Amino acid sequence: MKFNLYLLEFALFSLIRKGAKTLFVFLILTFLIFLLASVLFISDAIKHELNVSVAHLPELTLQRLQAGKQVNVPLKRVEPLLEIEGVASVIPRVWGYYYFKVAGVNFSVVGIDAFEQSYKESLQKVVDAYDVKALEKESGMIVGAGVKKILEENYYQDFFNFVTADGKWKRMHIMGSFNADISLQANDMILLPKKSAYEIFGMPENEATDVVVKVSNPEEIPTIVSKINQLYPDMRVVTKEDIRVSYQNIFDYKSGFFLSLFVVSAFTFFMIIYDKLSGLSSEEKREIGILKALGWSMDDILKERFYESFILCFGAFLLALALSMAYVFFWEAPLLRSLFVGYSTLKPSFELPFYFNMPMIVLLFLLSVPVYIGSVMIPSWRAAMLDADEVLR
Amino acid sequence: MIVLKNVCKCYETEAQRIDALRDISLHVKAGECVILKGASGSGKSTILSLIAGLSKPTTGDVVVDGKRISKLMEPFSAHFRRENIGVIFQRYHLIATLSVRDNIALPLIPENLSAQVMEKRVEEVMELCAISHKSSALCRHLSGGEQQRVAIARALVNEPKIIIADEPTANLDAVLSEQFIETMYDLKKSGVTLLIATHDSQFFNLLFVDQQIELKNGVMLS
Amino acid sequence: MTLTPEIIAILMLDGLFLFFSSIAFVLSLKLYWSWDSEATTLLQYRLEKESYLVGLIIKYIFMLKVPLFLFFIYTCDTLSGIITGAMCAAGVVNSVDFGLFLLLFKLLNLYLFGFWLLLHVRDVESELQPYVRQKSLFFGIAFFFFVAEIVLEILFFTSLNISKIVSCCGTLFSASTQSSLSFLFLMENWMIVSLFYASFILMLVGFMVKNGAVYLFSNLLFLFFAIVSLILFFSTYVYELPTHHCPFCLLQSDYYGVGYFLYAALFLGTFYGICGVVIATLTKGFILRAMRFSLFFNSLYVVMVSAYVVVYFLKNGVWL
Repeated sequence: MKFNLYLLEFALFSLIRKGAKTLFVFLILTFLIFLLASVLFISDAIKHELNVSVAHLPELTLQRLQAGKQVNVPLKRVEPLLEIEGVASVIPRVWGYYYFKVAGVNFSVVGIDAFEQSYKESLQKVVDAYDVKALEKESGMIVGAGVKKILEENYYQDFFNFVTADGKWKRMHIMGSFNADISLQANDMILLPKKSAYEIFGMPENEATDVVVKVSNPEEIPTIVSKINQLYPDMRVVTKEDIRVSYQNIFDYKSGFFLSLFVVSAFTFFMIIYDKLSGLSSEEKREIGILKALGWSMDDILKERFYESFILCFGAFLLALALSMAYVFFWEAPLLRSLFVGYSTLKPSFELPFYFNMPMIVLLFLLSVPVYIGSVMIPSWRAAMLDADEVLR
Repeated sequence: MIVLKNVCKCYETEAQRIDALRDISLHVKAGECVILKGASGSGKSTILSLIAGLSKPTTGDVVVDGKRISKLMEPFSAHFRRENIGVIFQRYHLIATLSVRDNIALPLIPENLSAQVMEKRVEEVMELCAISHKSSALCRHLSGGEQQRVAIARALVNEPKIIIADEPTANLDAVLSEQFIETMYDLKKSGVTLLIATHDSQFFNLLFVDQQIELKNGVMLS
Repeated sequence: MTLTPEIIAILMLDGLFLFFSSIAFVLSLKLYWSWDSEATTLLQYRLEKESYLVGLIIKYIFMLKVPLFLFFIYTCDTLSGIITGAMCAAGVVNSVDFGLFLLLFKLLNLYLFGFWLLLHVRDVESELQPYVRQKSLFFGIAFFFFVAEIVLEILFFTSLNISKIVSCCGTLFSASTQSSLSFLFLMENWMIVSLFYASFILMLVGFMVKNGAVYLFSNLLFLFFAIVSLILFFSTYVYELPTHHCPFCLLQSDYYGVGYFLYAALFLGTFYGICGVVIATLTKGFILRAMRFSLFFNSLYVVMVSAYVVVYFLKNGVWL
């Protein structure tokens, strides 16, 4: 069967002739799909960024648990861990959160050491750029862009006073700041010498917060994990994979939560459309009657109605897609992104990387177009069923 | 050509049952011109819609050109209508927001003809009905006479064997009615079967009319 | 229970389908009881219109079901990233006891809906619509399968457990005695492969003598042996690994998604071979056309799977 171009043309002009009604449906449809697409784009972009940053993480992170709580790891455990076969390196980390009461935010404070490799490449780059020994001497620190901004807002131009665990003041000078490429996590970060970190947190110097382990062959991870478990039963081993899965869950959950709300509102909207399309104006009824009398079958009228809906819906779909891409990737999604990044007030400041894939488009399509077509199906059928003999009276 | 056998048609609403037609039988040969007359509500339009396959009789049979229209289902009845019947409505029923050309092309859209054939057919009937000069004007901007010519052109564009007209002159002045009758005469000469429902007395003593059927409350009087 | 956007999309469409198919079901029952093509009653005229709506609804559902089936597999594939132990859709599907049944129902319903549509097309081609009662009855029955599928699907997604560790396709499709499919591995490879080709040859014979019954029968055999031989034999050549037997990993981009083509060809071929031939016999229609379609797609499938084996042999000079 040949595709009937005239019918398509008729449908298009019919939409235009209906004017206000078409516009109303088109705008609402565009808005809804736009909202949906934006949320999915944002969550996908963040997921993508997290996946990239997770890829740079060491394979294993070891935490020591005591009575179900995380406690510090004695440094003397580093050596035995290194002796396990397949372990490439073991890095004890000193880090934690520092609550800055005035601004009501948490900073991530990370201790660095001149002679030690950092556990993350991006961190190592920052460390390389500064003289860590000089930092130690002058009690200096390097801060992330977000931290710098917050501090400046509170009149800390070139130093900051930490309150240590003993309740004493500890003045640290701001020696520099950095914009990490993986900005999502590094934005709220403060890097300072390990010694100062111990002092601020009030930790004994023969302990570390946790230990990260690099493994040369990823295939050996399960074996190494079981060996570590044997060696230190009180240590919890978190693999890179675990972190990735938990991140993915968080974002799936968040976008899922939003989507559930969306589905409810979308259905409300489609009830409105259903209602609007069911109530045919007398003008429309007359037109259908004329067409039927002129030899159009119910099939032709149904097809025409279907084309109308499809043009409308597909047009709105494409427009919404373009708009939301501009909104998310060009304007960085004001308002909506706060839905996703909400750990602390500092975190939201990051750039959404452009990330776009085909399954996402299919998903968006399936979430919008079939629902719309479904909601116009019965009204269209009703319209096509109208008795035509009324125009002959 | 057209045979109605004991046709009854009633409309049922929840409250009552209205008999629009009672036991109508008639026979129209090919090329004849038939006038259906009677007051409004007498059942003229119902007969026309039965013949066009737009509605179906409650009992009885309608056979047109050897086809049992009364039992023809969608989409076959639509197809039959498209091939064989041209309709001229009371008040023309043009789509006001479409151009003359588009209005005339309406019956051809489901046929899905090639662009050339479509164009040629539309041009031909526009020529025939002397409306070519207005081909891209919107129908709501046309005068009464022009609208009438568009309506006739639209009824002719599918080259029908039967033309059905429902009160064609009800809204026309004397001059336009005269013109319409002349057009009908030309059509009859070309061999088209004509069915005209009207209560306009201008039609009642025309020479080319072969049958006059008078209806009252759904019953045939003559 | 996890609510990824993909799952919500599927569940939402399931809801829509349930709503519309219930309407179609009620109308179908009405059509079955009251349809009388000779009657001129108002009821009959109303039924004629309603039979239109049934057709419309089923077309709508079928048109979405086909891409949705692929989307379902894709969703399971992405879920395998979250569910511990699963490497591809196979693990996800099998993480729930009835996962395999869900998949079977999905496939069966594709055939059933396709069958209905073929019958519908034949029905409306005729001025008398002679098959309205048959197709209504058929849908009345198929509806229950459809509801079963939707219920299973909803249960499936709500009972997916992320923290539960599932087996990957490597153990599911292996000869180890615990796996539910292990009985298949009792058969010799050469036997299955020859049965596969034999059923194809039988099909060719059926086509040449234009015997619908033989053709239909050979298609049923062909469908079964095609799936079994794909798992046992042909998949190993796609993966170029003698131990990898998974029919789902074929869909992954590592293998250029060749599975989508294979399954599409197999489905179309056997669909026309089974449903097409049945319809053509029932309605005295063009049986040859259905057979030709079927043979084309089935041959395509045979050529594709055989090519993997041949190319492997030409490249490496040995069989796996």
